[in-house]
Amino acid sequence: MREAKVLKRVLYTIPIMLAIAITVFIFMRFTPGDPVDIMMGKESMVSQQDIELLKREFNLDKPIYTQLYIFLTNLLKGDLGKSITKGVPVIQLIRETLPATIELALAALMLGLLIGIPIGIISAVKQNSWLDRSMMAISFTGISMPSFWLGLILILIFSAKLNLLPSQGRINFLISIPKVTGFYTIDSLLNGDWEAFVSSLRHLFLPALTLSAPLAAVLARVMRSSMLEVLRNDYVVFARAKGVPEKLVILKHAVRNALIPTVTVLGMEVGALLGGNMIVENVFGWPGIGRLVVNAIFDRDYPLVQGVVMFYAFTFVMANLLVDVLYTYLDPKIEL
Amino acid sequence: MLEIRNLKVIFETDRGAVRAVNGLDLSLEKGKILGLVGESGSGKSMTLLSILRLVPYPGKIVEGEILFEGEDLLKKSPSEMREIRGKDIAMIFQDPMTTLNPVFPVGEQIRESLRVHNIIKPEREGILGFLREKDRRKKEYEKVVELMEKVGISYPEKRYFSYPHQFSGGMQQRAIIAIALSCNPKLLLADEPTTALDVTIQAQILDLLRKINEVNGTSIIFVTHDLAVAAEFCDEIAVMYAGQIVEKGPVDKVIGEPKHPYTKGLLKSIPKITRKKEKLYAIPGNVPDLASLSPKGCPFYERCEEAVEECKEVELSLIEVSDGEFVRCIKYL
Repeated sequence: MREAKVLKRVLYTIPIMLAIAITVFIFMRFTPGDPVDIMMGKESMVSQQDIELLKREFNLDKPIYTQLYIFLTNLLKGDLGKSITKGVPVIQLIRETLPATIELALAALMLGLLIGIPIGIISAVKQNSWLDRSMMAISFTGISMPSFWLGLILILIFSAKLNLLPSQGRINFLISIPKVTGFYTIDSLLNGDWEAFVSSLRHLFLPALTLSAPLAAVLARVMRSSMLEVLRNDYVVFARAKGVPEKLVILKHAVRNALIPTVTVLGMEVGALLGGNMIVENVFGWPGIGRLVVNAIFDRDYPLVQGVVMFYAFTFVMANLLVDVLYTYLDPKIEL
Repeated sequence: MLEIRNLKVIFETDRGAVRAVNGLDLSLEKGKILGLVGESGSGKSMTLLSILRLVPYPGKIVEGEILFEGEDLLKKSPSEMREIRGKDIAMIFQDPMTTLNPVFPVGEQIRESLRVHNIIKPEREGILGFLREKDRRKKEYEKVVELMEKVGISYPEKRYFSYPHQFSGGMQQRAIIAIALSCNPKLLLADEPTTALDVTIQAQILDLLRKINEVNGTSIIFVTHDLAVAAEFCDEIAVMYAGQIVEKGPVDKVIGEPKHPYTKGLLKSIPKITRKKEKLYAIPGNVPDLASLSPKGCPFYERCEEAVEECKEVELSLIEVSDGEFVRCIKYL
């Protein structure tokens, strides 16, 4: 039953993805500049003939609607095309950079949850105490601070001044580990290479923290307000009247209910996490999709930008679907 | 078994201290049903919550004694208090729709009270402890089904896994009563348990509570604003006004020959089916603002039809007018 409904929701995403594909395509073509011109740059050594040739190879000489048609039909076949500047299939570039991005995003998600949720709970339980006030002040700062700035400040403090943590890359460049999953932390553990593990964790920490800061801040605030809401409910008083220990009243009866609105916000924050990683990956020289797409935009590498944005959209839609499914487990009143 | 002496509960607010319960004296014998009657805001619910020491912030108990089986509950440690809640003293609430936790199956919520009070004892711990846990769960499940049957929930095996929103209001209240009964409490605090239910369901719930009282010998404090229900259901009645008891005694005395002008007013304001169409009687004025209530004098003074000048000044306590019947009024001094 649930499976059938999930499948239906997955099918619903097809028109959404199609609309996104068309939008991205059109916006990209409206951006001033031409990939071939940018690629050739000022090196006027390239002949007009070569340029024509290149344009033909990437169908840039055809009218826009033909280009769109080619893009969409290839997309339906699962073909994202070939990168103009790099000359390799877009899907291969995504596959190469994806593990780095996922590792960073998951680490940020985990940090965000681990920091945000407990702060929200504690703040609500100790409402109006100095602890609550200071945590909320910090979280407000977390929301207001742009991540490129936070990233730079963290680099300044932990890398430049204190020299505690590395500021660029995924791992010490002298270390190489065999690729299994593509996640350096996991691969190094699988390989039993402790040094590589520590190095990859140290590299991961600052970017993950930067990326998680707005997430943690939002989660803390949402969790706090929904906890306060829930704690006023009769069923919380009733749980106490049953003789349930206070710890369980909070962690079981109240938190389970307070998580419902928090999960909604989490679904929306996945979008922010995807957007944030473009900035954070660039600040920390993290070789992921975010950096790939930013460079692709500068190069007007149409197929690459289109491919990556499609991938982003797909991730976002799937994350929200996952949240909706998670919802039905958290709130028995909700069905898909 | 329960004796409350000079209980005072105040709420610190921006406008000053609100005296929600203001020197309340009450006692209850084993196996009896006491009706606590009064208007909204008279402090009935706060009195019940005080007994469990669950007065919500910013309220607090500032004075008094609550003796339960000879021991002062106000002197108990938080963990001792937790042991008592649900086990010796259970409470049921006014609105069943909001009392059960919406995210847990009803049966599990009943089982939880068995678990927190160790009703089904875990067998000797050992290497196979986790197997025994399964066994214990099964016994608890059986006990829950039995309880659900007892309070009149049909198909308990199936209903065990239902969520609160799948129950009707009456069924939810039955489930809540099952929770209250799970540890066989000595005292049951019922805070307007039938107010949110329609009349036929109301009668069924009252029957159920009476059965519990008769079969288990559970004492009940029954809070209501419905004098008719109280008259029918209770052994004794205590009438509350502005955080104080103004009259208490056996039900036939309080209902039959009310002494306090407030009780008289309440009784007069019950519409009667035999009476011809006429305007309903209402006690003039409103419940006084508890934040600006003068500590001296009778709080009912402003609304009282029989008030005299001295009422403004007099310091009153409950006056025994006949055996077991008490009134807080200058007329009986």
